[in-house]
Amino acid sequence: MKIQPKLKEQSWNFSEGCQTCQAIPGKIVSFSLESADCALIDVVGTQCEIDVRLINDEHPACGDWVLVHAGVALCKLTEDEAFSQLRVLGTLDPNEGFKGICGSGRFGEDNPPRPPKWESGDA
Amino acid sequence: MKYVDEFRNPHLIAKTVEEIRRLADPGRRYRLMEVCGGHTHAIYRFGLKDLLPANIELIHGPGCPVCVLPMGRIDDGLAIASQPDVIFAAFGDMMRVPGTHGSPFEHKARGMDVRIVYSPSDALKLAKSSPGKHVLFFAIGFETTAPSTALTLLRAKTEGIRNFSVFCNHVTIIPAIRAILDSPDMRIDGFIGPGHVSTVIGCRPYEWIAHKECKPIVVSGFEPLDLLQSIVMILSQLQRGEAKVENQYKRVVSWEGNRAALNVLADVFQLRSYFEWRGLGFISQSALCIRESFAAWDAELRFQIPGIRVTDPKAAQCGEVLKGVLKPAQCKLFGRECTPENPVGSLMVSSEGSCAAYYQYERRKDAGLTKIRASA
Repeated sequence: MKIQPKLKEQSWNFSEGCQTCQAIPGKIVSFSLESADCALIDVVGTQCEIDVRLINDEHPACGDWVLVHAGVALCKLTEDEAFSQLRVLGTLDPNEGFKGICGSGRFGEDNPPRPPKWESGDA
Repeated sequence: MKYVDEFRNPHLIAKTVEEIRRLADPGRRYRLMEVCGGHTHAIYRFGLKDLLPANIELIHGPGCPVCVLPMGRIDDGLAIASQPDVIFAAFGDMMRVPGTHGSPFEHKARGMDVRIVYSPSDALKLAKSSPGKHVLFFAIGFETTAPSTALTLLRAKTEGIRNFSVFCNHVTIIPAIRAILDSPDMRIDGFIGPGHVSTVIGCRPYEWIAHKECKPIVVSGFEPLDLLQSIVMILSQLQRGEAKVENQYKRVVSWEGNRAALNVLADVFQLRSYFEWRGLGFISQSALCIRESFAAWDAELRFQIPGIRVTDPKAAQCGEVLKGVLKPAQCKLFGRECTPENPVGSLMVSSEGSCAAYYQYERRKDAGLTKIRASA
């Protein structure tokens, strides 16, 4: 089944912001056909490939939230915790990293994070 | 009430602040260190410092890997990259860190092939797609990013990709805390433990801080209420005369950490006998190097490294700020010669460096106060 996430015009640039200290939460969209350890995640509109083999809990599934550090998922998160972390991250680097997520601005009290919308219903 | 809103509920925050005031003995001064750069930024961003009683001082710790990297290591990485057909790949936060002859971005402007990558595996992909080039990945970070580098080295070995190497600058948090506790000019009453590093190492490695050094340590989340609750937990321990490791961030951090990540770290890396930290000097067994079985992907073995120790610009007082001896604004260069646009020291580069955080959030407040005082 092919899941097509909705992409935003502006999205988070993964290459900026502080990658060395701060982990990011992402929602698993799909898995690679070649390896079940390689997943595609969505971070509020931006997608990237990650490695999920270091997760201690049971193997994650599509729709699970994971905490990702430098392309490797370290643990699963609840959706609430993921939103909490995204909100903290949205305030971390307003000049660079999160410009443009959630449409037109960064997260804040007036612009709370929304779950990404999927065309497929199960993720 | 939604879970995410609870962490910023003004009523809960007011109640927690009240509890902090109740627990803090007015006749005593408390010096609490937040180890993680993410916590430093959250403290400034949410103005938590202003909510605390005046006798609770938050000291910013060495938990920003970009900030603690000595300039000589940046020079070494750039020296390798200056060789023909070498691509310098690193995380975005490394790009503006000044070396002796400029930052990676400035070297790029002079013609060096410098690429920003999101992960080490992206650097490996770059190597696969650039057969005539050699990709040097400048690896940096604590136990959080090190598993990603380890997995990439395992993949490079499995797939036999030879035009890729790692210049390893991974450091470990525990020896840095030990160095701070050993430092004669530091007196810390308790620690706010790092949240994300602890997802990998767990809480057990901190036990010596409680048992041997008799200092409380509470692993904390990043929301305002997380940090305030952690301060309550530290003050409660101090009031009872206890010192133990507590986990405020149980919803993410387990006591044992991530076993799979620790195993992969042990497979690929070993401890260096010593490593230089900016501001803290040489700390024994405080960094990782690549095991001999991965020597073919170790840039320090594949290339000639200058290895020259470079002292920081004399006027910059990064070391004192890193150790918490000086506040960012007390540095002679802060906000004048050293700004986020033109950083002299690395603490002004990373968004989680205490100088950058102070510049972004506190400076305006200070300026506002000066204006009010001037008009009064």
